[in-house]
Amino acid sequence: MIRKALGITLAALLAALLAGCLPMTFSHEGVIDFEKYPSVYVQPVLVTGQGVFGDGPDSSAQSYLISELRDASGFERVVGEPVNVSAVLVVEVRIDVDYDSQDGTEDYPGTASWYLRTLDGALINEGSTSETSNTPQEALEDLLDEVGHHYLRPYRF
Amino acid sequence: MPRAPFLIALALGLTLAAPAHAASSGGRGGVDAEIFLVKDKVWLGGGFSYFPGTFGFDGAFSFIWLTSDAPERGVDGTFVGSQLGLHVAARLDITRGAHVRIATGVDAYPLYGINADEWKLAWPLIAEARVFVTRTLNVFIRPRYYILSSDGLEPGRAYEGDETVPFLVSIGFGGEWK
Repeated sequence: MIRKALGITLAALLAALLAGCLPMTFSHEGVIDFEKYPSVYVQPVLVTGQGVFGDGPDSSAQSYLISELRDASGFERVVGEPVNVSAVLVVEVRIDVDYDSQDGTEDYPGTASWYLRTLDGALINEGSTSETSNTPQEALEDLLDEVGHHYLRPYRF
Repeated sequence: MPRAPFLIALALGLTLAAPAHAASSGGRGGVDAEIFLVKDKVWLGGGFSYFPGTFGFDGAFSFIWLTSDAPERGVDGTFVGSQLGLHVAARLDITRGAHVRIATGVDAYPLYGINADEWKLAWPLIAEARVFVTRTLNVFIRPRYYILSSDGLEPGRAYEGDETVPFLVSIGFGGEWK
């Protein structure tokens, strides 16, 4: 008896639900107003630390970050030259090395700090993140991926 | 989208280990196929459960696509990501042919169709009614409510912002073995 009642209830619920599915919305608001700042110049990434050979601006890291931002960010235009842009992105990365003498392995802890500024230097947005990876290159790319994700384009669906 | 059949087969295939383990240990294990009844989305997947007694656990993995006419902004293509659920559950037999479950745990939404690093998380409260149509095959309905969730994860809210009941509902069928 209970089983029959449950079955009927279940069938009624299914019919009602199939007749009109409930909505569910996923959304993300951008961290900045991408309509106000539609284009950005990415400066060469300053890479320092014990885990890298030679401190200084890294143009390959700059290219990688430009590619990430073009792929995922809300900026309409991402460039490596400061021409006709509405904002400037400055990224500083530090990658060190932790050597484990017991098992002979190395880890590369890294941090990234970034500053998005207007052309006259006013701060629009900033952030920082840290990651530990197995190689310096992986650490660098993971950190730059995080910068790209920070400026993820707004979505709603 | 071309990867979808493979991923679905993988998710369902991974669940096949559960009943074999259950059969050898005296508990009750099951596998499910599940469809989420969500407007403007195609959302389906599979899951497993294992109950040594009244209490047990379940897991589920599903894939989410937008329908071609779904309202959207900031999405390339139709595939948006997945839901991965891991829950502890209590099971109460009502009759030999029907039982209810209450579960809680975590629902993770890796939205890798949007960006590889984009995740949302939720703490669900799940109620489930399950009726057996044969000794092993059953059908179920599984509404869930999110006690807590990440910003931008809104069951019951339409694209335009209108709110309805804040539940995520799925239905499906499964098999259970002792």
